[in-house]
Amino acid sequence: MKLSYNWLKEFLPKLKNPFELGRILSIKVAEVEKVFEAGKEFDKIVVAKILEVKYHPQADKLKIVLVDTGKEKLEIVCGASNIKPGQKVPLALEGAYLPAGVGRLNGMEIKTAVIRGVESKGMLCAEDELGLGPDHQGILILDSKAKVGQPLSEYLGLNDFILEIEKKSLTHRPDLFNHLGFCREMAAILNLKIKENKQKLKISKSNKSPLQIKILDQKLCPRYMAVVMEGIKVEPSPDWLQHRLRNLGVSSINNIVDITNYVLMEHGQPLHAFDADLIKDNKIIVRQAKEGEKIIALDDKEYELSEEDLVIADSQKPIALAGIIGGRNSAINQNTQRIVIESANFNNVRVRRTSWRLGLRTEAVIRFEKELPLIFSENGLNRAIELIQKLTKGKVVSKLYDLKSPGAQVILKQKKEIVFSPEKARKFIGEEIEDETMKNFLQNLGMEVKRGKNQWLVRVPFYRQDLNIFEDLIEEIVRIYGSDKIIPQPVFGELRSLRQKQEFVLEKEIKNVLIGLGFSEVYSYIFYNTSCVIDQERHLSIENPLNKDQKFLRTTLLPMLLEKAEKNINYYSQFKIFEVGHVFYKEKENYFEKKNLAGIITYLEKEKDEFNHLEEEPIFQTMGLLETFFNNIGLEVKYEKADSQFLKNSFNGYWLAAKDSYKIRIQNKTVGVLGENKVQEKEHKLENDLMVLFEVDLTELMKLNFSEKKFKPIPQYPAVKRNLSFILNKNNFNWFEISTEIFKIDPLIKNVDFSEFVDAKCFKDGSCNLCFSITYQSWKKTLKAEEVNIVEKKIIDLMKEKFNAHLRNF
Amino acid sequence: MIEKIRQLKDKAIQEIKQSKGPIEMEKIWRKYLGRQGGELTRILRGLKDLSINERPKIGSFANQTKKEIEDFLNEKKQNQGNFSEKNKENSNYLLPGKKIDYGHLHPLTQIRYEIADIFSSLGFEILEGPEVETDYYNFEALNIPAGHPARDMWDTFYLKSEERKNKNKWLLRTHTSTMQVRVMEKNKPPLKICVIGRCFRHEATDASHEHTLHQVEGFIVDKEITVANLIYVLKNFLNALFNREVKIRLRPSYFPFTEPSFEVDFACLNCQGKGCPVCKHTGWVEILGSGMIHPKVFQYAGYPKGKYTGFAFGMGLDRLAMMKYQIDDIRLFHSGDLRFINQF
Repeated sequence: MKLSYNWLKEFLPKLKNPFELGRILSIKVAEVEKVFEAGKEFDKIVVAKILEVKYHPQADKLKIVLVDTGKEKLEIVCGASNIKPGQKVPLALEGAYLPAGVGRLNGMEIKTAVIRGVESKGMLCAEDELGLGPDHQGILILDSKAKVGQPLSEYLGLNDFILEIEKKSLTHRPDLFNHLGFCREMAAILNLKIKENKQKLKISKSNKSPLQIKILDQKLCPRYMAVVMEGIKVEPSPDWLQHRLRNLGVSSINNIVDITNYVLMEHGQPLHAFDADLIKDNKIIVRQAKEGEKIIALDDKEYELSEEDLVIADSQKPIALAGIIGGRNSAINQNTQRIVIESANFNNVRVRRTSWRLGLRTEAVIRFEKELPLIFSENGLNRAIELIQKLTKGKVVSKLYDLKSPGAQVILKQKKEIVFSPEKARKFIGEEIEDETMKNFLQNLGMEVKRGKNQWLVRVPFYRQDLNIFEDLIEEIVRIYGSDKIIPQPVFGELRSLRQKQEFVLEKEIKNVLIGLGFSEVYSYIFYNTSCVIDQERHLSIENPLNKDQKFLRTTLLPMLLEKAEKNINYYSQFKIFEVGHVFYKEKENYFEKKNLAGIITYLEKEKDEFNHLEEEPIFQTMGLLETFFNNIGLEVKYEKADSQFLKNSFNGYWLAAKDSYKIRIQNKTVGVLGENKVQEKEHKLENDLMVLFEVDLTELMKLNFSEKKFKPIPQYPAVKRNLSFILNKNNFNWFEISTEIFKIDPLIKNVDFSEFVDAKCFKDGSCNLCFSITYQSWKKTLKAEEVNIVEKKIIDLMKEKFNAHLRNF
Repeated sequence: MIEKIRQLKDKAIQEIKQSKGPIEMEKIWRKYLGRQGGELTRILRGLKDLSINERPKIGSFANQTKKEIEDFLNEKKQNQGNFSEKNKENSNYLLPGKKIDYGHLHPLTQIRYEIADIFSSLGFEILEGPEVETDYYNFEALNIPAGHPARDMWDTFYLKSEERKNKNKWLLRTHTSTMQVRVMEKNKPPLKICVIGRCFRHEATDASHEHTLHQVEGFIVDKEITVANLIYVLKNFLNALFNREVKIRLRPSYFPFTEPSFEVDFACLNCQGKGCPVCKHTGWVEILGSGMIHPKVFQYAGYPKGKYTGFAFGMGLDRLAMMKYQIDDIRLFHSGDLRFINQF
């Protein structure tokens, strides 16, 4: 929202300079985003008088114009045809900077130039060149009374400072969306008096031009004021009015519309002016729109309405969207002579909803949606009548209609009082502020303070609907007092030891272990598109997605993580990434939110030699990596082959290739899955590279028992390590099963370590070669070869009987 | 025979002289002295076929030769060893070491941890909370009823609601303040809570706008918590965050769930408050929103009227990370681009 410094000064003549003002407002009321000089863009553009117009000797269409700038006489080359000696025109001097605009993408700096052999020391400007309007017919001819040499900004009444207010922090202050409101604040802060001219309005008692006003729903329209005026001459507004509006970014339409806008910005009351002769039967009905009813608004767009919307209608048709925008069919026009001025109050929620639905945010909406004070209706209407009488000779020819709902009547009579305890206030703020000081602050803000013994009764002015409770008054006191004066106080309390929640601690540990293993962390959006969804009934979806790719909430981290991996593959030949994030799904009518961990490891495809070392396959390398990871966070992991049914039902296993996927099993629970990227999915196919994906349900993982770290004595006697090599059938091989069985054989077996698994093509019968090493160790003595041999024999027998594996003979 | 042995010796010595490095010398050893197929070894093995007269003479000569070759080899080995040691000392090579892959935490995770550490040290409990929320905890319980214009402050993603019996509308939380009533309705003061997590705004993305954001929320509730306490804690937190004494200022603001409400700025660290492009020439940088918890919020939490006071504050982490690392495009955080992430 923009405020004019000059306008504020009209009410507060003793106001400080605009920059100081901006600083004070920022700290005490609302942030002033910037303070800038209006018309600064017209620097070095002055009013010049044309002395002589000659034809250019070298060009038919150009003229040489001799102008007086008040300081000197200059020759300017000009192409316009509408110039004559004696006219006053805007002259851009050397160094002036014309704004970007129609037909000109960038601004233009004016320099002395030689045009067809004649030197031109500046440029005469058309309206559009100055950004003042669309006209490019000729040079802008200024008023004959304009002072020669006067800066154009001064001539245009632009010598003002504009304060731009951040309005977000004023959501609760509809009373501040205007100049007077800010004047009240400044007066309270700086201890000034507002200069208000309270003229008695001359309103005729006759009701020559009566209206029939009917409010069908008083809840939606708690107050409706209107008056009929005639003898109106619609014409351009006087300069001062045009300039004021222009400076605040409002374009001037005609005197009547300009006056309504002026009052809006001065008093904060949105008004609407109808052409009274276009209102059928002099009837004004405030009613809900009929379903499908249409209205062409003042922005020349047609809106289709629903029963939710509130309209102002005559006996036949809607003539305005209540509290939002007027209708084209009843708008003020060149022929208007009789007008109806409406100054009403509409329900904030209703205005907001309609505005939202139609995508129509007007100055009126911004104010009504915040629940505008009811008192504003009469202030605004009075000011409008006063200005119309003064500027157009219009006369009031009806009575002053004022329809109030019962609720509005109560509010307008009620004197709202808040109980206030100065002692409690000091305790709440934590600062010793004297009673008298607090009282002054409240009084300066327009409140009446009745002091009791311990408690005060504070009466709130009508325009401060935001003040309702004790804490609201605290805010007023703190901001006027200045939060910078409050001495910070430490919080005292019991000193309690605190251990952060397991989820938090473990997540941190997980991430730290992962980065130690070379994984980098990525974040992705929680949304994805239909192509990632196979089980729609499990998915939650967004009602108002930003685009079609963000319609569903993820049930798995994998699709988006894959997308990230694919991007990186252009830059890194090999990498590891992970993400920890929330996933969402529904079952029946309940929704669940969990936290998952997912990762992707890329592998370069290796050329295979004749010995097919299966343990070097990416899938097994990943298993090893994850085993290290889980061991590090205190968990023992096992893997089990996952079938396609499982993949479908869990972890949206759709992303994994069914042929090589495994369940991650910990403490007899499946907590995750890993597998190769499902390459047959065309869009995710990558050349030459292989990705292994995994996803773990962290919510489930957190529920497991994490092994506490416990010291085991270091063995005193040497260990014996022996390698064994077996031939076995490939189709029947599960390392975890084998190692578990071997462990059971004898307590002397301390370790069973996998060495290699060769799927050798040289074995014609399709069998494979498995090597592993066994570590034998005793707590009591150094083992003898014979003792080891006995156990080793048992292992060999076990391998033969249980796994059909034969010791390899070299 | 003796002649043959002598020739063998000369050849061997010659080869040893020309040899470079231990591998070649090993080969020479094998060629002449190797157990299997060494030329001299073969002669020694063949002694048994010689006449008894020849045997001692040739035998001792062969053995002597063997020793000579061995000695010569050892000598050369030793010299060479010394030479390479010496060479190392005088060498002037500088090669890169072999690097080991180490991963990188996302910069926002790093900021999250930093902030969690600070609040942990102040005795706050760290929580995260759900990202899908009900309208109740996101708005209503925070004193933002339906139709309230303040809802515009948070453009919201709503979830489709077709088959749900539950009347409560689901949405993606627009702020971490959702945890205020969630925590309070289950716990009695004193409370010191810090919520760090993701939230969402229905907003088109560009270099400075994101629909997926990260926030930290803190609140303290107890008997007699004051505005002066709020200022103290915020100042302490910011001092720790920036690792220096930071000047702050509070501006009045509006949040429906705090009263009074403040916007908090800190004096620009880049220009010490003098004004520069970082602070848009104001000398101040906006960093967080805060205020005293509104009595309505306590009412929703089920606390007895007037018994407790408290303050709350919230801060965006994305902008903080951008400021700290001088990142100019907010979209990089969710790009997953390792060229970005591996810089942190």
